[in-house]
Amino acid sequence: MDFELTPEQKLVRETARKFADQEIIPVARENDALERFPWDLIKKMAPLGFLGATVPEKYGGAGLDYISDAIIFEEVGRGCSSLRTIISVQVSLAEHTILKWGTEEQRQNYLPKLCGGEYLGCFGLTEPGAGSDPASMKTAAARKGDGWVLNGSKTWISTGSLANVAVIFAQADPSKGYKGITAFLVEKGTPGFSSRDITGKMGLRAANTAQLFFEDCFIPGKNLVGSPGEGLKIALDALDNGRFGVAAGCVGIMQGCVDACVKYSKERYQFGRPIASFQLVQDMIARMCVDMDAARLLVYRAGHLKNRGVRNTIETSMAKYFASEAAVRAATDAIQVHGGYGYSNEYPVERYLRDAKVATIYEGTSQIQKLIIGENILGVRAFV
Amino acid sequence: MIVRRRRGILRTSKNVDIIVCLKRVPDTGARVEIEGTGVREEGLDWVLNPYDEFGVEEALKIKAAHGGKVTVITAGAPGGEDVLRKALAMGVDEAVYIKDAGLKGADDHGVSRVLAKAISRTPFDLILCGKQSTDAQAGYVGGALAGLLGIPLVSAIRELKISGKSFEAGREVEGGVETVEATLPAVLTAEKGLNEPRYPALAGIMRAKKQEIKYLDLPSLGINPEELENPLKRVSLTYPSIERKGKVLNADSGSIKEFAGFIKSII
Repeated sequence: MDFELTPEQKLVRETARKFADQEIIPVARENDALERFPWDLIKKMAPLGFLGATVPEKYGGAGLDYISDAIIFEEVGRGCSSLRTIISVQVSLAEHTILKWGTEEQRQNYLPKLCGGEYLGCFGLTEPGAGSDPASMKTAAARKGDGWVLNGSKTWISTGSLANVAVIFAQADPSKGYKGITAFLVEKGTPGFSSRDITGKMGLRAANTAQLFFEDCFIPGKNLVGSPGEGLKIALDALDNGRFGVAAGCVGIMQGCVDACVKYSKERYQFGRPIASFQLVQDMIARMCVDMDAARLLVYRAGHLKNRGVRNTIETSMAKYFASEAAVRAATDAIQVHGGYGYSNEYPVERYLRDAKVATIYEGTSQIQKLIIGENILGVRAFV
Repeated sequence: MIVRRRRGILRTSKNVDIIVCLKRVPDTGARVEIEGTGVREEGLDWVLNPYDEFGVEEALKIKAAHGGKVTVITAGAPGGEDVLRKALAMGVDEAVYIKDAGLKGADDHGVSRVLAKAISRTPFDLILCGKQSTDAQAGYVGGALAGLLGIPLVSAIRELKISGKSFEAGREVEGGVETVEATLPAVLTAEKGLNEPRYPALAGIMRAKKQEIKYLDLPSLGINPEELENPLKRVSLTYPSIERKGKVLNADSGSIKEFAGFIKSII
């Protein structure tokens, strides 16, 4: 067992850290306040390879390993969770679904554009009535000629309004239950496909979140992903990737909390001493450091399994559950360390809390993660 | 244009072949612990000397504008691969590592001699160094290389224009900018502000992993490690003393004018 990063991973960290410090952090507060999508940063990240880190080079990616992937998500997440969410969806959900389940034609058509930033991608699984229970989705896919016709809607879709290509899941054969769910690629501009932004979010305010609507939307047969009925398997497999990025991003939030608290607690004087010297302040900072290390190690373990090509659903769920809950705890304490100042957006800690909270909800709530872990331990499934 | 090169090599190319000297230094954010008369190296995060990074960036810019080959070189005990890989990831063509345990005790002059020996075996037009390292801050190697190789030195440059085999370099001096003209080959040392180093792209990092580093050692350069014995001995190394002097201002003592005068004096 070796806890050292490889020289390449260290270089990836150096690049990602510098990019976060110099490019992301200076604009994160304003993008959050104005609900402004970070187009400039995406344009700068594309040539660096951040939009396709783990995609093989022949499809326009950088061909990196999953520990490097985690490092990028951590550093970007330290700077801005909205941006981290955008690249999580782009890389872990859209690109990896096309890479693993798409046809060679789909890979060659979409991956270079997504990795190069020419295209944005999104992943449409959740529906107004189907969140933790995606198998109950109502969006229907009916065969027509050599293609399919979609009808229905999706909600809470990150990058939904802006994506050039969407991975969409729909029920193609209700008689087969979850085995009827099928995955498709839907291009922006396809007749019958529209979107509406969801605004007023607590966090991820610089990211785009949308409702998607399909009204007699014809999808050519070549846009089918995998086989008919494989959709739920594809979705759950994609979520193993997505959750990994979320977990790593939460480690970044915690690092941001620790950095902010260390700096502030040494500068802030009360009772004639820096507040860093008070035991109750040290208690909060020590706890967030331990949580951060534990979360990072859980993420690296999941990444190690991914590098080996071993199934990692449980380990990824553990990392996602622990890291997201720990990030909420860390951000709550970070605000406490900052006192009244932490309650204003003069400091980044209140944004960290708002952004951390969603990580306990999206890509599988903490409760769903615990049920996945529980089933693995007990051998009893808590939900159908 | 025909330029007579050192060691009698004649070249007709318009390309500018550049050698950039690199040093590995502790990350400036690292907590440095003194151990004896040195620094405890265990657990330190090491990075490419930031001034050398300006050198690499400038070399890559010159290559993009004029063509040519960029070679990076470092000399020292283990660990130099990391900084060479970083430069390769940024886009340089070749990396040379003079790796020899005999270099451990070498001082700046010894390292300069070793670098000069290796460099003199390769045709080059320009040598770029950082103006100093962020750890020892001696600022020695660039000047020593120019002396040992018998070519001009322009130190701490913030601007550079190359045309053909001549160049114009701007140096920041007290109260102004000094512009120097000279012809290549030359040694230039880079000051902060010369450029903004690029981020190594992820594809570059992966490419660098596969690129070969050329290794040299002291015997292959015909240098006896004993020759490198350091004539300087570091007697002690101590932390800078931190003395905080506070002045308590009491609203009851002294006039408002005195109080305001004091505030004015410190802002």
